[in-house]
Amino acid sequence: MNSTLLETKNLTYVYSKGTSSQVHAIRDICLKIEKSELVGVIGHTGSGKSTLIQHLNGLLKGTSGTVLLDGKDIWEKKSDIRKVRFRVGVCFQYPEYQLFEDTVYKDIAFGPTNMGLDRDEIDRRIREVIYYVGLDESYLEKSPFDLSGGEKRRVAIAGVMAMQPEILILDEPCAGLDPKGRETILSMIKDYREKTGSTVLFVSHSMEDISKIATKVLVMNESRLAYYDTVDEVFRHADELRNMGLNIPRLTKLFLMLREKGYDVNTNVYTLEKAKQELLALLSKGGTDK
Amino acid sequence: MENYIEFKDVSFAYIDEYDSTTENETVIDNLSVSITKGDFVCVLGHNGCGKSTFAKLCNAIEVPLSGKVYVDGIDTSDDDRLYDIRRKVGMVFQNPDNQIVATIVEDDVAFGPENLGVEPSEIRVRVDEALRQVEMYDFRLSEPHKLSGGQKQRVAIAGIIAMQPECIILDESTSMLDPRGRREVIKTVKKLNEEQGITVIFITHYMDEAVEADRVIVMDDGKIVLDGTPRDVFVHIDELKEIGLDVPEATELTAMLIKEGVSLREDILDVEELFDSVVKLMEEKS
Repeated sequence: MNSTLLETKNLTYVYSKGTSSQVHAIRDICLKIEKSELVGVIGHTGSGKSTLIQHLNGLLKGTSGTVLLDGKDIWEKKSDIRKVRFRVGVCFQYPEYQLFEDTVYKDIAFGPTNMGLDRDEIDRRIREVIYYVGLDESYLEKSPFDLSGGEKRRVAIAGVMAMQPEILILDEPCAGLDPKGRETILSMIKDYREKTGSTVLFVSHSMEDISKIATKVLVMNESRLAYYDTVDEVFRHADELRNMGLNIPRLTKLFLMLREKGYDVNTNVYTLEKAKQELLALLSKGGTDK
Repeated sequence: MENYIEFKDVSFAYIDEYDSTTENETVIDNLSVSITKGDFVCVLGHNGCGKSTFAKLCNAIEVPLSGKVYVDGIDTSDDDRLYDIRRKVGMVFQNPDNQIVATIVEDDVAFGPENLGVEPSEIRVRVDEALRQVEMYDFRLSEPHKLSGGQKQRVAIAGIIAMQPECIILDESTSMLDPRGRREVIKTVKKLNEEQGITVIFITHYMDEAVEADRVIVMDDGKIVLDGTPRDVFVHIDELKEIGLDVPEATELTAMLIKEGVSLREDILDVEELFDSVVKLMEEKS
């Protein structure tokens, strides 16, 4: 049994409370995230994903409800919130716009320096995380502004990783990248979690990306938590997901269509290799068990 | 078929004005291509392959270092014709927040025609018409910052339509949008292409968008490496992967099955087509 690391209890947030434009951004969210999960977060624009994330490290404070980290209310002592932010690291959308130092080294050092770590430890961490993001030490003395868009983004993510947060949250880390860039970021997230055992949450609009690497899927819909479960369980609700304006992975859809047609196939298919095996098995059986 | 945009042996490099010692990296390398009037052309390529420069050469934001680009027969390096070219070829960029200039939707759409010196009464007509075409008429008095990404991009498209262009270029205009916003933009552009015959050059990273085009051009290193219908282009799975691109999953899965001896046609583009083919195989067997 894994232990619960992060928990929300009836978490609700209202924007512009008390005015005519009052809006519930998230409503009554009850969520338990276990240690070392790799969680894919999905939901259409305006469903409350970003608002939820900002509560998890205390950038926003719920209008009602609580956020518990290791069983302790993160707002219990207001002066400790800074420590919470070191433990739960958030990397926002387009983090490359937040690079500001003149070398990659200094930029990655910014977070750990603010944590008050000593120089040797900071140096050690920088030389570690630069490999986590698929770059190497030759990048450290370069100016971040001379790098390509995808490289800049990876440097920005490395800056958060260097703080060694127990929970790393990435808001749309693949947005706007080309297919190769997306692939690199996804395998980087997967490797990082395997190597460090950290808990990782990443927001994505791509069901394909989520189904490829996530252990759990968190679906937000109209400011409520719709699902938080394993990939297989969540994609069982294909019709409900469609009604929320979300897609299921295209490969999974193929197998759902085959199942509907009366063929005996598994529908928990998310990778090309698995799809191939399933189809070959189906075709070798022929039409016999229809 | 009439050629609308024509590239003749075009080369281009960005020159560093402050440092004449560095070698200028060639971004477009001796490129010759023509775009037919009324076509929906999709341009694919990884970041840095020269797609955006290609787009900028199409409406004289950049002019070739050598070679010529012609838009509807006009040489883009002819300074006197700059306004004619910009009027003919409109561009929608990646980030919706970077291209909206006014504080009210309809003012933003009017910005282009105003600068072209169109009569105010005519502007009124064009703005209303353009907003109806992108289905944003009901939002004409809204503030742009309150719109979703997809809605902002449609307002940007309306701003281009109000200038009555013959060609619209969308440079990764869907890459910052969510799936719903992407669908809205594609639907709008396809409609303009089909109903009004506007030539569309659509630059994207999404393969499922590219399958909608009449023609797909794949660029790498400033050159065109593949050019044809989506079916012709996407069967080149290995070549596309080598230059960092993807192919639709259904096409790749089909190729994997063919390798295992399953008899399928190789140019399948989406899961619906693959589903039909598999069902057919199963029915033949039983």
